[in-house]
Amino acid sequence: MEKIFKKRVIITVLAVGLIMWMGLVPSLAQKPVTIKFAHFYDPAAGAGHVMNIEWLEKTIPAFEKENPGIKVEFEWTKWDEIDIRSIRDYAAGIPHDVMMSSPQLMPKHFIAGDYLDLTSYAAKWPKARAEDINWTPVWGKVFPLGIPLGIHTRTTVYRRDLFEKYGLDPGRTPEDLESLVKYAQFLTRDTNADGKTDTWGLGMYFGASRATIELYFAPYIWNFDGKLWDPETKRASFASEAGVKATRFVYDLVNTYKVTPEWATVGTYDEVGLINFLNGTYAMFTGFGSYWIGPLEEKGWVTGIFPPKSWGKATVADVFVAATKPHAQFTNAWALSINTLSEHPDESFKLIDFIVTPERLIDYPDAGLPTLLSLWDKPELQTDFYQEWLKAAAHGKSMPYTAHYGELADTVAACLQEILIKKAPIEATLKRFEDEYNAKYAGE
Amino acid sequence: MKAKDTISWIGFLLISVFVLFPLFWGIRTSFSPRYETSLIPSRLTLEHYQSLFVRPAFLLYFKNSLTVTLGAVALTLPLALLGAYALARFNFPGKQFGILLLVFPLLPLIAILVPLVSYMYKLGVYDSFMALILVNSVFNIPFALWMLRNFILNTPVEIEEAALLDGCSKIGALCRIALPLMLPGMIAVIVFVFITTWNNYLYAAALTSSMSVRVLPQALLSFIGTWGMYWEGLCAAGMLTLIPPLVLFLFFQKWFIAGLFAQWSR
Amino acid sequence: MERSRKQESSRKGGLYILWEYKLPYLFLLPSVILLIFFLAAPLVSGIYMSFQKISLRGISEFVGFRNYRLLLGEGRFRNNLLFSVLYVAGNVGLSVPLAYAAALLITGKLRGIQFFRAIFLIPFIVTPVVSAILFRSMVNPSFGPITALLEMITGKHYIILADSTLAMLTIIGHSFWRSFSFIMLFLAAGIATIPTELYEAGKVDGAGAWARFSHITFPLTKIHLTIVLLIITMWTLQDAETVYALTQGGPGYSTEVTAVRLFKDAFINFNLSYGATIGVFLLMMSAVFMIFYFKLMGGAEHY
Repeated sequence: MEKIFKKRVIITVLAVGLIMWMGLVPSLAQKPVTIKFAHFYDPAAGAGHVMNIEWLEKTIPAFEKENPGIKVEFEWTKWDEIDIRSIRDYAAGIPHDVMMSSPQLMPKHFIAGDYLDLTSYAAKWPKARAEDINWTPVWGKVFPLGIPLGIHTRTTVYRRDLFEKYGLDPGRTPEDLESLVKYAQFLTRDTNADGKTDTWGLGMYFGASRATIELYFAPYIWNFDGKLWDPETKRASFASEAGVKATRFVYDLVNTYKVTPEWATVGTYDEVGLINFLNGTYAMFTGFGSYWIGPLEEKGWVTGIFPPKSWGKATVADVFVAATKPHAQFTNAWALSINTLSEHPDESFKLIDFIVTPERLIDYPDAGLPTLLSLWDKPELQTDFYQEWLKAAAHGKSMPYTAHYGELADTVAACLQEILIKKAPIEATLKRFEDEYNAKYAGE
Repeated sequence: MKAKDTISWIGFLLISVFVLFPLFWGIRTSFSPRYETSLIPSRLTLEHYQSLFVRPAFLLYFKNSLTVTLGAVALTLPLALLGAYALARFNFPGKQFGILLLVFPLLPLIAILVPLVSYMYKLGVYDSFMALILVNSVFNIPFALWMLRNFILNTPVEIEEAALLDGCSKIGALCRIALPLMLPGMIAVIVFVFITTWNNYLYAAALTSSMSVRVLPQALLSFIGTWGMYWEGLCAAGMLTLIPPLVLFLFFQKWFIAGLFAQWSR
Repeated sequence: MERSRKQESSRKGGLYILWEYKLPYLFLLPSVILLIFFLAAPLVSGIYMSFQKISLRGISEFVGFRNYRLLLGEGRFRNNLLFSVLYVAGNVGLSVPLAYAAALLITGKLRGIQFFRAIFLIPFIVTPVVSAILFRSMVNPSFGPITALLEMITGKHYIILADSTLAMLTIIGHSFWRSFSFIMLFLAAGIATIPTELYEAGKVDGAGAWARFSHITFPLTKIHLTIVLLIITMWTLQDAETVYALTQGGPGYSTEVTAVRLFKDAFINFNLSYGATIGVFLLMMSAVFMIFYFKLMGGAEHY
């Protein structure tokens, strides 16, 4: 009786072992490596996001087909949370592989150590290819930690039809801040004479977001030759004379000339900017991002612009380089980085390498504009519309290289809101916010 | 007397309007076509609800919320029950510290969230359902334990004694005799833990980062930015989020309220 | 039962007593372990962290009171503390009168009270993030009904969340909507314990409605009021999520209560040491409120 029992045990163990072996060996032989790709496109977040998801859904299978040993899984995080998530997860020991990242936060990543230095990988590229990517000055500091995916620059978008309606030549746009204000005043209209403005001359956004410092403060402080943050003393310097001038400029737009709506301090950048422009609220809106070119086509205000065609034409909406001095236009884009904790950095770089090629990036909607210089030679980008964007990109400038960029952005946004809404004294308020920032973060 | 009744009715009506208006507004917005501005929409549409279900994410968040909530209930209830029984039916050195349980729920728990997150890192449960279930349970245990203790104190002890005399063990007596008597108290605790866990945003925001463990309140807040203020969809998602706690509350209202009072009655 | 058990145990001797104590300890052990590990221990290490400077890489150094000094030296942080007090006071100040009115209504003798009590309790059940979203859409400048109502009354179009005072009123109003029903529940329980004869006697003495309230109802529900105020205060004090969802602390910093500041510093900008320090401040604030209310309760007992 006992013998039979023993026999059965042995047979069972052998059988189980055999089955496991049969299952294990093939899977060991060609077990695909799975890498995670963290992006921030949400299928429910509207047409812009959906376009990007569609692009990912055709790009990734193409990559997997070319690299049968690698599988790609998506991870999703909101765009303004992805960087801090990487840092938090790094502290918790949670690995990621390829991650979309913001250039402005690279110093923070550098100190936190959550992104791999990609120099050794990029060094294997032929010189021509490296130069094709790294052509604009704004990438200088991004490079070791991320590979840029496109160019996000900003222009002022305007309504050609409204220019014509009020007797302006839509081919001539303001060239300095003074004429910008004049245009804005002229275009601000109360069309039904009910005492309320219904076409605003110049839209802007001053919400609690990084967009505020990047698009509605930095360009003006740079225009007046100031700095947000001094790299030599490593201190915030936005309360300088130039900072005061910049603040007075936006203050006057809202409170003196009343060409910019005061509700620009509430809501999200998309809502105040894109949605209101498409709803016809503004004659001009400044800080209009290149990632918003698609929706203009969808609205029918430009044709053959997105995707770009050589006959493309701006019919109702057009753009001009914001009327600040040269090199005062904030420019960035998303980049791709590799998490330090990644178990498959080589495979991860393969994915980046695959994506950052002319064939893939040409129809990447969120690229805004091509990151590769060679792509700009294509005939479909020779239209007036795109040449204006190229001019803006060439004026590009990046955010200061401080690990506390997030705090700096929050501080400036809150300070501007306080001044615009409470009509607080400009100089003293700027100084107070600057001192508070420096007390905690100076030197870092 | 008549005049007084009229005043009462007006009072009921006014407060009801105050209470119900935001919910009415939410329902109205979730069924309105986009950018509708009038109070009563010109036509009703289901498109915003449909848009929630074409994306699998909403169902995933719903499932996640349910997992965390039921997990927290399942962990809290037995622990609180055991502890409550000990506090109510036994005398032992150190029992007087039980009163601390009344102080714990009064601590601003957000204050200890930062160290708690680093604990979760070290435990290796950061960004998992386990972390959320643990934290929600721990923060509910004091309340639940005290609530049940008072319920047990209010059930007659003689029945248990009779069971003991019949030869049941202490645990046997607890299971067979006391448990059924405590059912209303247990339901009150279940409803309470369910609602607080379901409604909680903060712990989830602090303790998780991946989409796969994201719970509903977190998802709703992250929609605010990414949807460019798609109010109608946001309201539809919000209304669906409200259903489970509201249904539970309306079903077990009587016991739930009685349970809340038992909490503070001694 | 206690006596009978004692008799039993004395008959069975010392070992049985140990067994008697072992069981309740065993019953309490899991809860106590969890509470020590996840509540008491983080409390201690939170205080410890507040004396450190923790870098992004997780390297910490002891800095004494630096974090406290820097925070207290900031006008912004002093405002955070002040706004927290305003937020609590505003919420309590609005909720208590309405809660009394509602409590008196639902303890009355009208038909259908059960139905109204259920309705009145709904705000307390509603998910805070959802109610915050609803309120935020109600004050939306282009289609919000509250914006429209305000325009009808004042004749001026306000952008509610772009106005410091109105934004503060919005977060208080939202909290008020959520809190009053919970307060009402407690007060109703208190009112239900007041014998009707007292009111009858009051009526005979010719006391009006207000006199009856201030001489009978209020004094006899003071204990209930104190307890519920304590709970509501703690909830309001640590409420970061609804304020964040409504205003993100803006415009400027004008609705940035202490809990929101903690949330921003610790979980958005990942400044752990400041987060922990603000946590200690919140603990101190709640202690102050507790002492204040216990004093009030002491007063109630002397009444």
